[in-house]
Amino acid sequence: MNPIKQKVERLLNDLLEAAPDNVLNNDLVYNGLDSLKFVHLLISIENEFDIEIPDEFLALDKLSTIDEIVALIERSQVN
Amino acid sequence: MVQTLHLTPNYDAKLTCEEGMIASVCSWLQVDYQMLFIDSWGFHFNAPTGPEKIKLGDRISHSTLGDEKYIQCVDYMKIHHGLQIDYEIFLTMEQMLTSVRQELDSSKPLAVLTDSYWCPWIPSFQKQHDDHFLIIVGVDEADGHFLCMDPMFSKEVEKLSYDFMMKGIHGYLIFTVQTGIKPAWHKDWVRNISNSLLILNNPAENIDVFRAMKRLSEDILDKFDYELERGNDGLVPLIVRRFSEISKGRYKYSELVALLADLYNNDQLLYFSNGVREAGYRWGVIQQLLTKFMFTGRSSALIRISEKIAEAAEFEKQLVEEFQQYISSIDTVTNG
Repeated sequence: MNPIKQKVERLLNDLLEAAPDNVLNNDLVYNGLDSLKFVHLLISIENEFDIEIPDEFLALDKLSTIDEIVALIERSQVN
Repeated sequence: MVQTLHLTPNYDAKLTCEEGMIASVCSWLQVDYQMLFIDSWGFHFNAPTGPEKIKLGDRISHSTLGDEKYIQCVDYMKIHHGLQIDYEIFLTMEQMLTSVRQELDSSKPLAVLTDSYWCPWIPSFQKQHDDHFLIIVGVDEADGHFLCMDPMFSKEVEKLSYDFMMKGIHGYLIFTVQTGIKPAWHKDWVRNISNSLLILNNPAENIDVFRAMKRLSEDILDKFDYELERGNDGLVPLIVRRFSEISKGRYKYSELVALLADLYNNDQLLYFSNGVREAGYRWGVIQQLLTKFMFTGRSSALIRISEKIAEAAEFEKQLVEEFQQYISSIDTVTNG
């Protein structure tokens, strides 16, 4: 599995207080993420990957899946 | 005997519990409800009333309706959508059961205004008292419980015992579709939309809410007190909730205009619906940026929040003026 995705899923499971091997749905809202937890997740990602997520991605409807988050991290690391 | 209606709730997180309840019941009854959102594009930023320091969150609101909102909902549903909502005060369980049986026999759900303190599936169960609406879709008289749907807190049909129902209930709502009125609501849409835009921008009355938005963008920089706004009650700060309401209100208004665009196959209305949706998105970003700031305390975020509020004000002012011009042109055609 993509190591970035693995880390994102670990952060998400930590946030949801779920077991580390909890199987997640790609859709963030489906996993029980609300707008508050979403901000928590993005702060954890910024700290973990040492990146700054652009403001326009702070809304859940612009970044609604784990795959989209992974792609954003990959793009941020290239830049 | 168990009676159940297979109603599909409206789970839209942008709706309040009463709006979610009405939208769900309306879907079942095949009645539109979007005129509920006619007042939802708004903004108010009150001047401080005295020298003492108050939260910015206490000075902001997205609507003037406040506690009147429920009464307004009932009126709007009757006037615009032909749905009569009668509130019955709970007196006895037997009387309520009679109504429940009667309505379910007619394939109609009921709604209950209750105290969330007595709803076991809600996180604040037996912790906090809040008014809350539920939809009754069934009753199991042998087992002594109601079958309820709660679009805000549950995706399941929840069981509520007679005991908890009696402890929490204030009253229940009965819905009656008034035949012949159903399609009438959109006949007046030009006047209704026009009036709702005048609340935002009315040069004749010196009303311009976008000036107030710009004032907020300045006060965010000058008067934001982190500790005061955050509070110490552990709840989401009031100012964050206010920004969330502002964002959701714009999405809801956009839904109303989208329905009109669909009814009249009107691309211009679709353009305005998308514009108001964009306004909702912009306030959603502002809300999230503020939430991030409340967690991290990085002050550079405040500058960006201030800039984004000023940009939102510019964007919305231009959109409202364009919308008003378009509405005036329709009005002229209609009256001419």
